[in-house]
Amino acid sequence: MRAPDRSPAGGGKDRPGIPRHRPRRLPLAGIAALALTTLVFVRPAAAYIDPGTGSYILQTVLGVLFGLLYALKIYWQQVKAFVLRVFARKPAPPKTEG
Amino acid sequence: MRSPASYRDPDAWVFVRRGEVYRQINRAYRPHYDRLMSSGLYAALVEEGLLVRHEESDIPPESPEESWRILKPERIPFVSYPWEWCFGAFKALALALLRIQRLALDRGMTLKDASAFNMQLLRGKPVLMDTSSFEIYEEGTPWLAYRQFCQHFLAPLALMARRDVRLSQLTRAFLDGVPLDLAAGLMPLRTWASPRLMTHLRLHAWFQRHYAGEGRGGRVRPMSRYALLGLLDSLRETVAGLTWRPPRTVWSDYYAHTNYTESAFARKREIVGSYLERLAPATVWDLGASTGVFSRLAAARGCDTVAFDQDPAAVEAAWREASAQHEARLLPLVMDLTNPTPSCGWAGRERMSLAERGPADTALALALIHHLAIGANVPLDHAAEHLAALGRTLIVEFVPKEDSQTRRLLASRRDVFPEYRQDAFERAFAKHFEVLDAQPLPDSARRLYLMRRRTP
Repeated sequence: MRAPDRSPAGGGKDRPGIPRHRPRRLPLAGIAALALTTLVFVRPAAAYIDPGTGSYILQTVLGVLFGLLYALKIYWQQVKAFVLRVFARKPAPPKTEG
Repeated sequence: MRSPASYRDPDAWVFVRRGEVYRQINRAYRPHYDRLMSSGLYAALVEEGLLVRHEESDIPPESPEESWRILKPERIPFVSYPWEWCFGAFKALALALLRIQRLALDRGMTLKDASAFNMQLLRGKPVLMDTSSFEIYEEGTPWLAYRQFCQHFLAPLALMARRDVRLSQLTRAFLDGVPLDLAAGLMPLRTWASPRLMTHLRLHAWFQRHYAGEGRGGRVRPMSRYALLGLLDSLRETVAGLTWRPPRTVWSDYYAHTNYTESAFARKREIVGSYLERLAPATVWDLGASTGVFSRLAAARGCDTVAFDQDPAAVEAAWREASAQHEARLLPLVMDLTNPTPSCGWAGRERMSLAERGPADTALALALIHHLAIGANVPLDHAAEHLAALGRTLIVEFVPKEDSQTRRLLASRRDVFPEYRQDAFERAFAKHFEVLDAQPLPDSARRLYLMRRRTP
């Protein structure tokens, strides 16, 4: 397992021996999601294409938000289905075929 | 011979032997391939028509030391590329890829790439042609192909829908997908009101810029399976929310404002139909097909037909009609015949030029010659030579100068085409083709020809 190589575009950013400065500026949405994110860390998976560091981090940062919105959507669909079922309980008039 | 487009993934690659395409699955990929087949994912995807069917083959591998299995996938009659797709086709392909990823996650697998070049149109439907795109999903891992999906699908689709449909041509310049900062910069201001596009394009571009050149270090935050499903759902809704309605351009209402009389049009259909009957081609390319009226004559006869036109609106109309009518044999694509797809990519050989994907058994060039000769100043001899490279046989229409459509092309310019006459046309084409038949069209000075090229 190996982490993807740094992209050549900004490869000169850090020098050996000097701890890398990790920028902490994050947009508002990111901060909100970050607050909800679990603090457990895992080893990154390796891929044959570069998943892109920014793309990878964006997903992990916003993951909770995506999950939350998805859960709400599913929940809402279930509520809607339940309401529709309740109202559909009235026996439907027998269908007449012309 | 190993396919020039198949060099990225060490797990598997494609080779061509005696004109047949095979996929060699390497030993390293064995657990993933086994899971694909045993988990029911392969069967589910093939059932839905989302993945090409394959058979395991016992032909000798290209490199026996690393080979685990050889697959013989179903043949795809015409391989097309993103810049050739109209908006509707592009969107259908993106949604299909997300559906595939969803089905994969349900069975403990994930797509390790989301390249637009892995998706194709087969029998009028989107299909994944890369059987080795799946890998076993590890809980906690984000979608490694998220960046690729946004660059290959979301960015071009958003630009086509929200800015200009012609921006699909950016995919031809950026074969690894449209850079997100470029896409974000080109998007109109009103995207700020679309939270999903803001997230997947603008914020995504910001993250890419911000973390450019940094590794992820030893450890990263995990992403739960539920969060991953949420991401996929968000992407699906983003893509589904993008729409494009074709404006009424010059050629998409061509048939409504044509100079044909009804009898001439009926006669033209009849002649083209009889020529197709006589030739019985397996593959037909309709060059300058507009909305595909004549392509449909071929498709209805069971020919694998590609309808090319340079107008995205005409191609969109053809695509919508083909989808609505389930016309499995018709593939409408965007192509400017004066600048057809060149071979491109690594070493200039990765993606095939239009001519390399041919020749078709029959090429249709109906109401096309005046566009090439007068609209684009292509000498008749050059037009004949190129058409001979695209089709073994040719059904071609000569549209003379006195025709109102040709006059329209000459309306605002000097007539520098003294050679554009029927006799000169016949002489130029006779160098490359043998004329098998010719028929006049009633109520016009147009003429239809059936030709066979001299080189076999």
